[in-house]
Amino acid sequence: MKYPSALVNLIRELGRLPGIGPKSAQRLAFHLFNQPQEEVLRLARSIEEAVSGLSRCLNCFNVMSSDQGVCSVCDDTGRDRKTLCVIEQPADLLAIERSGEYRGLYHVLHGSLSPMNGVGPDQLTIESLLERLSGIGEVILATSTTVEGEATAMYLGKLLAERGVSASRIAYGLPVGGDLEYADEVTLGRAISHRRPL
Amino acid sequence: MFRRYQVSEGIVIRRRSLPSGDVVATILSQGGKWRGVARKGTIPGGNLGRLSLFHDVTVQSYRRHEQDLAVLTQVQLNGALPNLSRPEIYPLANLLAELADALTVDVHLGERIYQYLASGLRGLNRSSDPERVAIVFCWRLLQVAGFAPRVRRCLHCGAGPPLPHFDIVGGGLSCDACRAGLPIPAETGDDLRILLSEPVRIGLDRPLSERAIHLNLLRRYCGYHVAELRSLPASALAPGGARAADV
Ligand SMILES: [Zn+2]
Ligand SMILES: [Zn+2]
Repeated sequence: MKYPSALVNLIRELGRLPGIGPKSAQRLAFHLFNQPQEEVLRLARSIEEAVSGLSRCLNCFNVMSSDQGVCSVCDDTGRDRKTLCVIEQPADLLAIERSGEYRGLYHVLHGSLSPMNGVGPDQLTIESLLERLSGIGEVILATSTTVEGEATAMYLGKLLAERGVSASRIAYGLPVGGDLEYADEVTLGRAISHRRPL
Repeated sequence: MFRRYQVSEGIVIRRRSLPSGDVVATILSQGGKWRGVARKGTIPGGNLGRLSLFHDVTVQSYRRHEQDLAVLTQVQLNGALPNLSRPEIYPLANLLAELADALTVDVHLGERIYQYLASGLRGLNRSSDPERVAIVFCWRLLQVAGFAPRVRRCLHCGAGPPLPHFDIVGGGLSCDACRAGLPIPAETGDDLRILLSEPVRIGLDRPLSERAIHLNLLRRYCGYHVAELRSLPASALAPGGARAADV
């Protein structure tokens, strides 16, 4: 038996989502089909609203509602406007906000450098970052601690140094509550080379 | 024989984080290339977080059925290569991994590709001239995969050196009488002959002075015989690196 084309289309679109294979896409499609129509339409409407109602902040590339001029962080006059924290994804911004340790502004790169996947400096928001530097006293490079995130931070560090802007990299540490012998050598090596006086 | 649990060593040549927090890694081992998923592998500090790109790892994996994607349950890092993130080295590490990936599309070349990639990445990590290391190991990887250009004699008439032309499509050097392909400096022709016939350490002692030409030949040769390598233009634009000027 051939599936109706509407179902085939749904499976194909679901299958394009990251982490969803063909089997999961099929399961999800049948799951949606078995839900009350009102619930599924609500999901469809919220996808539509998100697509048309969200955009990127013109300043920092954080997610914002399309009717705002800039995002709520950039709009907050109580923040330190001399410090920028560079991150890979909007989700990282939320994580840093939850830490309660940071009061400056952000810059979202929307990815990390990955030449083999065709992601170079031009595919990230690096050009816009360089245009934001006037009046900035410090840039904190808070890309992830993967090889890719580290490479992105080092690349940016070089560009910032060339422009005479002070840059710092988030500290590498051992997870709180861990035993040294279970730490991997990269983390441990960095924790030792970036130790600080007590 | 199919085994549900397996312990294997290999190099992470691709790594992709999924929104779910899982990480899908492509691993090149002695026995060939395979993919595995590390559930919640993006959580920092966990042992699955050691699945670092370009690093040699020993992994324990589990599969319920032979055709399933392997689930990585334990990861151990076999030595850190911290310099691979440096701006002048990172694009070159991408290049070696991408080439190794392209050369193992559907064949199990296993052992030798793995060994050359491992040596190449370790070489990049400690060399003061990473570009030279990358050029040497790119040709070696092509060679062990059976894609080496013919460089000892003219591709068309069999004459010996000098062979001042590189015929990309034909896949080798040609003499002045046949004149097939791009003109290259005599020194570059000698470089290629040595890189493809002498031990690696002798290749690594050559200055490979015409870098832009070397990179351009690699880009064109790989583009025709293997695949367009996305890291190659980037590696040619690495800070301090030569631009892949047209020959
Ligand atoms: Zn903003
Ligand atoms: Zn000839």
